[in-house]
Amino acid sequence: MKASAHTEVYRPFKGHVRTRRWRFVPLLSAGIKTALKKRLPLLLLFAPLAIGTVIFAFVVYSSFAIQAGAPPSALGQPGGLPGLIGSALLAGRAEQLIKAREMIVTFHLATNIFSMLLIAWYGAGLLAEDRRLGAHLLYFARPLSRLDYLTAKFLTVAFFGALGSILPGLIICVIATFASPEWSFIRSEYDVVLATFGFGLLWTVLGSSIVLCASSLSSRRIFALIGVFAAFMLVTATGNILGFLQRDPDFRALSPFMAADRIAVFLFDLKRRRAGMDLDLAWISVTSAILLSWAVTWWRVKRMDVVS
Amino acid sequence: MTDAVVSLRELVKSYGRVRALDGLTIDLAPGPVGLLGPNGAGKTTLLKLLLGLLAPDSGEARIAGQDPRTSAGRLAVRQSIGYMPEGDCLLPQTTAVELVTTLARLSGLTRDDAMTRAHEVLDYVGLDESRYRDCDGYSTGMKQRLKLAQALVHDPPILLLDEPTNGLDPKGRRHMLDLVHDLGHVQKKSLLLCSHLLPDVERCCRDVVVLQKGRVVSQGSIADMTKSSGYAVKVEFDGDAAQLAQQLERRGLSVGIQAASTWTIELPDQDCDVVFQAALEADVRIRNVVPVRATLEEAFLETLARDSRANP
Repeated sequence: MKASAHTEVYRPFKGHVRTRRWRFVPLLSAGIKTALKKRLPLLLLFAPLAIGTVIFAFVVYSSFAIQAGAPPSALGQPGGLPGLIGSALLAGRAEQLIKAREMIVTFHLATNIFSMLLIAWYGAGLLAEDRRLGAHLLYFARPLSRLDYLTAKFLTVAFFGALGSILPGLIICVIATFASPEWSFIRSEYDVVLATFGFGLLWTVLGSSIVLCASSLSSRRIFALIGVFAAFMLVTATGNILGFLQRDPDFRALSPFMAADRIAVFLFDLKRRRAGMDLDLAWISVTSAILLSWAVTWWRVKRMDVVS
Repeated sequence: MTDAVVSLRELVKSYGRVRALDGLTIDLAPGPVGLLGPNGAGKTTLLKLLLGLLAPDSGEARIAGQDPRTSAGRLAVRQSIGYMPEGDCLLPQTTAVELVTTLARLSGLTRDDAMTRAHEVLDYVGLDESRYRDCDGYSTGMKQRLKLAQALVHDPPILLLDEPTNGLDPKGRRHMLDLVHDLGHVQKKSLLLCSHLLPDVERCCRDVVVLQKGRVVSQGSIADMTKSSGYAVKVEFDGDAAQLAQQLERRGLSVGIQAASTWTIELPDQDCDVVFQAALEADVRIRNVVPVRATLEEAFLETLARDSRANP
């Protein structure tokens, strides 16, 4: 079917209307496209992450590059001075790998707040603005289920969350892999890559769920933003104060964000760091926060689709 | 009525203590139908119930044979309906082409078809180069036309139009009414035009349903509704007015004088021979005789007043 001319005459549609399985895809792509139109927030929110990624990637690269300056023949030769040098270099390499792991974890924990900012900025208006403007009437007047709608909105915010919390870590892992001698990083520390992906995903899902929940409860985008940060501050402060007063770190599990940090310590296997709260409690905290957020969001979206 | 596009049975919907729809039972035939009623009569509630955007407290609503209360029925209904909401409901930072294309794809069109179709309907509603601009800067008229375009993009057989001429200037209103008239009468779409502007409904629709306080107070064709309870004709003549008045009075006919040579004469029945006989005897030449009909506005107000008296 081709549009031949500007006629202002109504032409019946001759094509086919299909019932698709993934009806959320057009809404997802439209959501991402619209969000990317505003360049200034994009620049401001991604700049700290981009700068951090470049700095950490450079540090990881340079530390491996310095070590790679030693002659390969010095490695692995038993006995005598070359053997001692080889042993020392192997020990240095092992230490270097641990340092790289630590740096990647430090990067994650340091940039968490920026990726949360990113998620909050792009997610806060997704449901609140639809409802305020009445745009959900246009969507739900079409064969779009509320699961499709919610999936599209969740994946829109998760896309930006993943850009902020998974991608930078993976970039540093790739740099470490290529910079490490004989690919030793990926061979010895492959779990860091998995942990990077796993923790980034967990943080994205947690952040996106909470932000969408706040958006579904708010009448305006700004209220959702305020709500997210108020909740963040409140649970973190309450958890910390109760933990301090009761001298029990488990109280910190009140904050799903601190619980996620505890899970990061577990995922990256950081034995040298203080473990803090109980790991099971941390998982319960994070899972509960996600499930509760989804339950509330589902209820609110149901009210947008069909008001009983 | 077996071929009803919309069929409602004892439909009830309340918002707290306020009963928006009170046991509505109607069948609407295919074609353009106006949904009239004062503010708060339940027009928008009815449209949302038909789309499944609201759930009824009791009763049944069927549109195109589907029940929007069930999930499958709701999806089927929404496939065959184009809905133009009353409010703005357009997302900022989105161009008309992007919006209509996205909504077309949500309706099940392929990417290419959606783009082509979006341009076709935007052409039809008369959004030219502005279709590439963000909707934020659109005038009310452009927003209304864009909303009509998105309702048409999947070429649905049924259109639900909620106050399509709201906030439009006379030119924009005329354009919108032309489009709605074309859709209803030329493209033969079944449309439910919800409005409180009676001339709009009079121009675009054949049948009307009048709602008040959630109840149907009148339903039928506009021609039937606007038919006067008595018979009257408007007569234009040349000649001696006094003679004619005398002849009409002799025959017991009452006369309303609109202008020197244009009178409204009330008749005992549809036969207006008596007027011609009076004119013949008065030596007056009749130039024009037309039956007098009430306007839709008069009929509407009379219907509402009658209902208010019956249900105070």
